[in-house]
Amino acid sequence: MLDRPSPLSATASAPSADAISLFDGRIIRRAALDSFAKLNPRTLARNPVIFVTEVVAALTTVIGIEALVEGANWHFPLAIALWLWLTVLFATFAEAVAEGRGRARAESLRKARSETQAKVLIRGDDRSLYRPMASSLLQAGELVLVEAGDLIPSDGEVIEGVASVNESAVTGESAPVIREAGGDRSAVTGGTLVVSDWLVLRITAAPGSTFLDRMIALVEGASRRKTPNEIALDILLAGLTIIFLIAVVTLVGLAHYSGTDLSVPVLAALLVTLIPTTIGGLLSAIGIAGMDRLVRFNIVATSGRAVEAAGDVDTLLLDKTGTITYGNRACSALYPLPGVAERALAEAAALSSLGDDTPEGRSILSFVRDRFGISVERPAGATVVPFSANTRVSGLDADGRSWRKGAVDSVVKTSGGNAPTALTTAVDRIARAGSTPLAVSIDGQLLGAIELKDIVKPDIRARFDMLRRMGIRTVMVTGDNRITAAAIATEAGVDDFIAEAKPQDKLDYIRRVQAEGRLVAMCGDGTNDAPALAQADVGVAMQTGTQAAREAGNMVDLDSDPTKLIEVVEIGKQLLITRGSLTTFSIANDVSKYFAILPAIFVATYPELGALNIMRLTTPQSAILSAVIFNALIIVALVPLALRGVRFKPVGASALLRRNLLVYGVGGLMAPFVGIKLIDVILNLLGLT
Amino acid sequence: MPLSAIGFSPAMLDLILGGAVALSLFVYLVWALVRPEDF
Amino acid sequence: MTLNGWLQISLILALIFAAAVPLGRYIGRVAEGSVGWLRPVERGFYALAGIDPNEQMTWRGYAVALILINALHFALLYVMLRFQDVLPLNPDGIAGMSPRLAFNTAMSFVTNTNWQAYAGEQAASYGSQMWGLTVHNFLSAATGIAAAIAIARAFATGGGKTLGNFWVDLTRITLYVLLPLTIVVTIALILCGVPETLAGHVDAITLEGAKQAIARGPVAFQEAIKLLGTNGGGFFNANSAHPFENPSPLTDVIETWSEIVIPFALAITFGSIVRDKKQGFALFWVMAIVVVACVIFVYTAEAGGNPLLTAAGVDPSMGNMEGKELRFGVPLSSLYAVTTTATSNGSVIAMHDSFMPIGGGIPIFLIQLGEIVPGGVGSGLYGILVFAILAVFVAGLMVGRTPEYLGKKIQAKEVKLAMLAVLILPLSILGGTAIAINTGSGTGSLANAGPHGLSEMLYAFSSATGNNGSAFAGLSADTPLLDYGLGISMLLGRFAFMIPVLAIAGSLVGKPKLAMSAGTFPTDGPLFIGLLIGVIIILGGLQYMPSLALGPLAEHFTLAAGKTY
Repeated sequence: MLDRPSPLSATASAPSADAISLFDGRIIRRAALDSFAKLNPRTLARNPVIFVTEVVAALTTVIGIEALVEGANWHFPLAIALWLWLTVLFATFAEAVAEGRGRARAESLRKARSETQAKVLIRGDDRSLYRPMASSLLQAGELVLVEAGDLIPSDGEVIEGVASVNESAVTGESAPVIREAGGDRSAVTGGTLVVSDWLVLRITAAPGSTFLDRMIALVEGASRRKTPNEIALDILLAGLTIIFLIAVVTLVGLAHYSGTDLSVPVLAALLVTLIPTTIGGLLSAIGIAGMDRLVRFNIVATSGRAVEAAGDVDTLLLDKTGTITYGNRACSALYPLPGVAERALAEAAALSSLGDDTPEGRSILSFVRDRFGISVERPAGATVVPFSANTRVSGLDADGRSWRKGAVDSVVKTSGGNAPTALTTAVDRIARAGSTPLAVSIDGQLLGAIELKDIVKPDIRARFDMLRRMGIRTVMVTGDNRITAAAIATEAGVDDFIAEAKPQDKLDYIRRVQAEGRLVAMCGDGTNDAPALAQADVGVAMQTGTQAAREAGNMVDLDSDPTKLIEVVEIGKQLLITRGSLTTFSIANDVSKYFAILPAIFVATYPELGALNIMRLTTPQSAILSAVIFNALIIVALVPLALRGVRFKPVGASALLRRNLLVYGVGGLMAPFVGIKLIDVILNLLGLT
Repeated sequence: MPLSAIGFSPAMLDLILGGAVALSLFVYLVWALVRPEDF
Repeated sequence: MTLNGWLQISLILALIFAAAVPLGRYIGRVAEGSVGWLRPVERGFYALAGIDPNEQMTWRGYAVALILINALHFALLYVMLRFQDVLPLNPDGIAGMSPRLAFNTAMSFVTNTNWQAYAGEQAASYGSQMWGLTVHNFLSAATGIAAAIAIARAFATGGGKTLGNFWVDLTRITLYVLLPLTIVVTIALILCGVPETLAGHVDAITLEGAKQAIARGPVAFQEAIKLLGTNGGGFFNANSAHPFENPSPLTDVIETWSEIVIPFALAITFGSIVRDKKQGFALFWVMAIVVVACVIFVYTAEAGGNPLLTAAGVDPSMGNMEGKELRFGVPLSSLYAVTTTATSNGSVIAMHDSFMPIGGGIPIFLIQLGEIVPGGVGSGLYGILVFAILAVFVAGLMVGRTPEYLGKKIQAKEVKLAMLAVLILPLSILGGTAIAINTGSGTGSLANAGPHGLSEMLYAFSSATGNNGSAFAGLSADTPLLDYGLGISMLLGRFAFMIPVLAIAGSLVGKPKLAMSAGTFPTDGPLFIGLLIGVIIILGGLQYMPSLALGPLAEHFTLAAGKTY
């Protein structure tokens, strides 16, 4: 049923391989049954168009049966009634399929939510005294002990201890992560497994409302509320239905004057083919499927509203580190002082980095090895001088000599305090390029500078160009100084940047651009990101982040991959585009229905109106029936599109609109002419008219 | 006494029934249009 | 069709389009308050009425003021028409109107419809025409423009609360736009021979020696505002076909220009108020394209002549001349039929009743679209804005964002109000027609049987709801059913549409104005123009297809088959 094995089997997730087949047999069978249960008028009343169709189908059925009893012509009314019922069923089926797919996804999550026994501490400061309690009964605020091998019973905040936790149940990522009290790694999720050590947690979720519970409810569509755009669309559809109801009811009077007395089945057929049943039937399926697409990308939204807001976003706040650049800086060039051989500088740089186990230090070693072929050996008896925040210098002492590298001013200070002009020039050049300069010295004698460069991800510039075409501005957030930030911003092609950013700066920036009428999305993980996450229109919190960040955001990224913000926006847009396109298609369909049905119903009074029968449909009855059948079948035909979503291309709004208007507007105008004619031909071939 | 006995044809009765249904649908739809929020 | 005919039509349209642009900008400046050459007079009015011109009104305040003055004036006009026999300026001793006719007429003039269920020269005194009807020609026109300006302001800025001051808007529009234009057009018409006198009718001896009373009166001034304010209520029963209202092809050019120039100009005004000229031009083009297309349809239909008459040996080269004035001919009559129904004017220079089925069907369809391309003064602009909102909503989703128009998000509330406004039209038009045509009184009013009879009734309810005022002249309209029925249709078509529109303005004005980006749905290009035309025809017109099929279309096809009723 699922292409993806249960997350508990700890396979790393790959979003693209995560799709459930559109025509999965089990889902379809269950949906077929569910679609009947969904005929309940009380639930259907939430969907005005389909509810009207159901009522009209019932009315036509009554009249057909009445005709049957009275021995009148019952074939036609009952045939209409049958297809009206099928129209309703196809609509409920579409919703049931979408829900079924969500349910399939939820099942795998539910396995993680198995009942466990929690160890509730009786006294907060004594880990040896606890009583067992079912995890489903845990109240927020209770203190719980979890030890190696235990499942974490519910969402909580670590208040004591450090442990490694396997979170694959929610993230699909098998490598354990560290959870510890305080800082940005203090949140734990119910259903995840403690692999080593122990933790004391304070439970933060009320029973039944843990993260996992909410995730399951969301993907199943159980807690689905209509989103703002959906409500607006529903209102539009209700309004259109009223207009066509008026047109059809008054037609009785107009026709009566003209000498035609219209029958209820004919009026029912006209009404149902005119009201926007296509979009009415697919609307909720589109919404559920949109949420499902997000979940497939391992992102959980707290509401459909958030998904929609993602489509509206026009400013993305992206952290430089990890999103735009690789996390670490790497050595990219050496600048020897006059009179110093480049190789000598390289060797000194390598020796001074021998004890430096940071990625920057290792990058110096590999740069020197690759560029100069120098592999330095650690001299016997050498002592490592570790980096300290005080000296801001690190290095190596051996054989009475000392190699040092570090912040330029610190190294200069230890070398007599006077920076040669050549060094200042080199340092300036490095800084202007957005890189970080380090100075290198031997025995207090300056040799030159090292350039540590931020490595911008190779494909990121193209993505930003794409976003710009979609009308989305990208803003880089970094702790670097302005000069460094500007250089990287230029290289990566972002539209704006916030340098020397403190959490408050992010918040201020968001407020400022929101005041200009922009909608902002950002991601964050730390507790100090929480205010900005809450202020942003779309805040994506990282699963590895703190509980505070996860509460403040309206989405959680289970993979903790900040670049996914871009996909979130695309999914939001695709959701809205699918709705708009099918609405346009549905409304454009109406034109053909008039041409099918009007000549058919007035042919007795005004045979000349047959000129409007441009499809040359065989008989009045087959014309009306063909229109009704087309109207029902088009719903089923469009279910895959509704579930998959209309293809989204990252182009500007004009190009997008032109394409979609052509496909769904003009296509919607033309398609039914062909379809109705085809059905008419088939009906006649089968002798059903 | 059935309604048809007082001069309504069956087609007429159908239309009256249809009219009643249409009127209730109209009321329902106006409600669906002006309702304050999600329901 | 003749080249000469097309040239006449093109020339007049060119004059209209060319004048609309500067006029629209000027009205925009009036709306902003930067036109003030009559400031002392203006201040005098405010002082006299105890109005604080600096007070800013919310949409509710604006709507209440608007409804109050219109309700008050309805009452005043009703009383004036009922008792015109005892009121001054009645040299011809015309009797007071019956209650139902006074109701219908008062409603008609307050709603800018100017449906006349009476013959002007026989049933309305000079006093009623001047103090009653002409005053309302100004008031109802200014009311419409004020409402349009109010909604335009809602798009202009973000996060506001107020839409302006209704009293100030009403005063300024009258003082700086309607009055000066009316005076200029009046003088032009007088120079071309239209009478303006307070003397009673003239007795003349005809060639046969019979005595004939020739009606005249203060025609020119009422004629000018009748056209400029898209009112349409003629001084004479024959309306602009009457030689005293519209004596020559030259006056006809002036009149055609006058009746449609302000509605077109207001699209440009919209562009200046929202500070984005291209947005105004987009609406302008939508209006222009529909008008030109309809002129082509009507002229083609009329120039073809009646196939039955042609078969009977009548020379078809002049086209269908039944009900048309020789001095205007088919091209000018066709153009006027379109301009008077594309706007909510409703004055006529030819009898639409006698047009070919398609030639008469297009005017009905134009009215049924809701009088929005370009529509009545003001009402056309706010009407097309309602459809623009719906178009943006449906198509805007297709670019993947919550739809926005001019930086204002279009959400549930706007869609709801827009649908409520749009709903009124089919309810009143189709509901009214379906009921009236199946009553004895209704069919009794019809002059023709068969599809043309249906067209007469359909035209009447379309005209009343669209606040147009023209008619298929065969219909006898002064019956209780039609006086009250059409009166209610006028009321619904005017105020049940206008109030949701003001509520939309109230909702929009408070929303932030979002910045445009490449991801914003562009509403100023050819794509939007085409889209809006499509939405207007599909959402605004398609529901009338069945009624048009049973009326004009049935008549067209049966006529082609040689059948008459």
